[in-house]
Amino acid sequence: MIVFNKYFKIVKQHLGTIIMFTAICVIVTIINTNYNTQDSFKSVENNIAIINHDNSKIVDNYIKYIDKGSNLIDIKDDKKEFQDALYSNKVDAIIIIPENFTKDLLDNKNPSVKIKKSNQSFSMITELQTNKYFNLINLYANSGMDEELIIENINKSLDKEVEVKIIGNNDLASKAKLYMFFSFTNYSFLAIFIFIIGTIMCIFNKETIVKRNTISSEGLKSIYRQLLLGHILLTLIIWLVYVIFSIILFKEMMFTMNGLLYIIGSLCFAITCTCLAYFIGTLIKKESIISGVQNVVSLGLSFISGSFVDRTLLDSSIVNFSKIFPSYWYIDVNYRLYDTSTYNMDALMPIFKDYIIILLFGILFIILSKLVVKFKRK
Amino acid sequence: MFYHLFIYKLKILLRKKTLLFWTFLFPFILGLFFKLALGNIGAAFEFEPINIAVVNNEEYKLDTNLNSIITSLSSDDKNKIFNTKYVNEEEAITLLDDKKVAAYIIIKDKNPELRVKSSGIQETIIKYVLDQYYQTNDTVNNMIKFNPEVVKNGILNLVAKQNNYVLDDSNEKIDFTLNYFLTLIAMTCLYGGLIGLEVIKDYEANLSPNGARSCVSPIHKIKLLSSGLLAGFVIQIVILILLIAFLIVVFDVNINNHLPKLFLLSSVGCLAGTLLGTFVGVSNKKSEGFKIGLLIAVLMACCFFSGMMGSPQVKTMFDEALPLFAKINPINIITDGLYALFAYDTFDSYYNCLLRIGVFAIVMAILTFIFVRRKNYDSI
Repeated sequence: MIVFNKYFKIVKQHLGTIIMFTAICVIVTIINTNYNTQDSFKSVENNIAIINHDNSKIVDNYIKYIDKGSNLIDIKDDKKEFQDALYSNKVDAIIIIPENFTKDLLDNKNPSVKIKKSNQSFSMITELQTNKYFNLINLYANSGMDEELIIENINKSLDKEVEVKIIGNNDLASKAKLYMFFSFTNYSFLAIFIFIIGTIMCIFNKETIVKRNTISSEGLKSIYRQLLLGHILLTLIIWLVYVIFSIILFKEMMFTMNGLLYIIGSLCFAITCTCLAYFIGTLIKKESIISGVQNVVSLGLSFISGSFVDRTLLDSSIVNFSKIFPSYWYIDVNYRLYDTSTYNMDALMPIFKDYIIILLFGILFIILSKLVVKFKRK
Repeated sequence: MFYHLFIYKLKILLRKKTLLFWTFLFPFILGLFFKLALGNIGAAFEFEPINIAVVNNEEYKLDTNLNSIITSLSSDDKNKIFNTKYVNEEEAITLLDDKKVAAYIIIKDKNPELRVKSSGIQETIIKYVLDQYYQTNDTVNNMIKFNPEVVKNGILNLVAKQNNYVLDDSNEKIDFTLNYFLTLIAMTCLYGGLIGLEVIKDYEANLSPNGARSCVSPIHKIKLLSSGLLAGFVIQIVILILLIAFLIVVFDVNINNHLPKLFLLSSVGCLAGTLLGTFVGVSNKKSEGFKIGLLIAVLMACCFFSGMMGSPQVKTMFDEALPLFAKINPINIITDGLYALFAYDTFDSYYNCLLRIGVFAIVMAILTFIFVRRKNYDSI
């Protein structure tokens, strides 16, 4: 088993790469899913900055009201600060309350607060809140109440809220975390397998090594068998590391039908990545090229298949183009699992179909590798 | 002699395929990925009317208040918030299950209820609208309690009149994808470090056999180094011009205002990158692979802190948490300078960044000089 031992000596030299990509995957998942699982409805909180030029109790109370449903961000009253905060998306909107706003409001002069938006949807919440608040103030003021009484009454009125019920698939938040983790493995698996298996293939395909192996007492078939065993074992070990991490991060979710289907999907994709890496390894002669190919293939497929950016945000022609790569089908499996709450045959068939397509890509890469090797020998 | 050295170094550098991949092809490929992935992202921040369903039962028909709120917010004008479908309860559930609507509203025992699949921005907006129904009802009750005259004197009619107290004053220049392309230009400038590393390797006796050969040649070291660095700098400038042209013409990135200033800052950035590479090359005796790895890792980390690999908030977060590092991070300096050209009416921030990246280049040059000067070897 001299070839097999050498195989894992090379893997050991590149352990840093495996650790780095696994760490990136785990860290990105933790950062992106840093919100609580919820069974009850929770309103989305937007980031709002308020610049107040009108010192009045009604406006102070308005700021308190906005603060309840939003994160108030402190920024300076400066044009450059506004530009920077909106551009960097530090705030979704900036509200500027002009001088004498309250006086004009109570005098029925219909004054306006200015809004500067960076995110239309998120600032819509604040627009609704603002209009509602000042319309209610206007009503109370017209009934003859003074400022103190208006504030007391409006606070009571604003406490009245509609009942919201989450029905059906109420664990979407935890499912989203799982979806995010496994979708990111698209990048990690491609990067790790292409780099390590590609490097090993390059080393064993070097002319000097091939010549040395040809005259060695170890038969060529035995060498190829040991290499194959190495590929299989490496694939299983790396896949298992990711499964263990998924169990550590999402304990309860992983011991469900949903978790099991994610695990099967990731195994299918890991096998196909190994086949792809094997194919790339047969094409490349120089080790120095591997990192370039690894970066282009892993980043490229992750960008166009919806692993990094949600597929709904991608252009439809790009999404259609990505169908000719296994990454598209892997992300497809993950999305179906995120979206499915029932596990009958109707729901499972498309998932099984995607598994088969992913594995067919693997077979295609092996066939292509054989053709390349045959062509090179000629 | 200078011209001769310059031309040959240029030819040598242009034949280094791996070097050309990282300094030339990789930024283009990364730019392509950014465009593919982020080209449509602006639409995600735009508000689109939300699809909702309303269960059109008898109770809903009788509730004129809710009826008027939903109808007014569903009418085809600039205040449109909802695309509303009026259906029975079974159809509403099917629409929600099929994700055709974000939520459905049903009145049960005279109380409107909101049914959703999950918490989200659309669901929150719908909730705020329905909250208004309850809050307005409560306000009317409080008004009547406080002053029963409001029923007679027409004040209550104001309930139906919704004033707009918000004036849109958004005139800031916002393009959420721009920062990615600015960091890409900055990264391309600093990747000149790989060229600097390659140049210095051939002129330092302790770094390569070529370096040892160069050192015993009867040519002044300054001439050797400056011709090599100039060749590397010229390649960098050509790559930079091609990248900027590509971003503007092919990807339609909005950076064509103040092109001479953009080019000036990027050129100084290229110089800083090349000199950073020479410094990394001469400052230690590790292998070439280690130095390339170190340089790429440091530059990638600098790109990360400048917001290349995350949402737009990441850069702001690090700028606030690590202000000193943000001021000396070369990628961040170039990104900020280019952003200032795009966003501000004045150029003071731009000149500040130009000065900082210039100082960075000078410091790298001085450090390189300290390491390469007055070296003599008895044997290597």
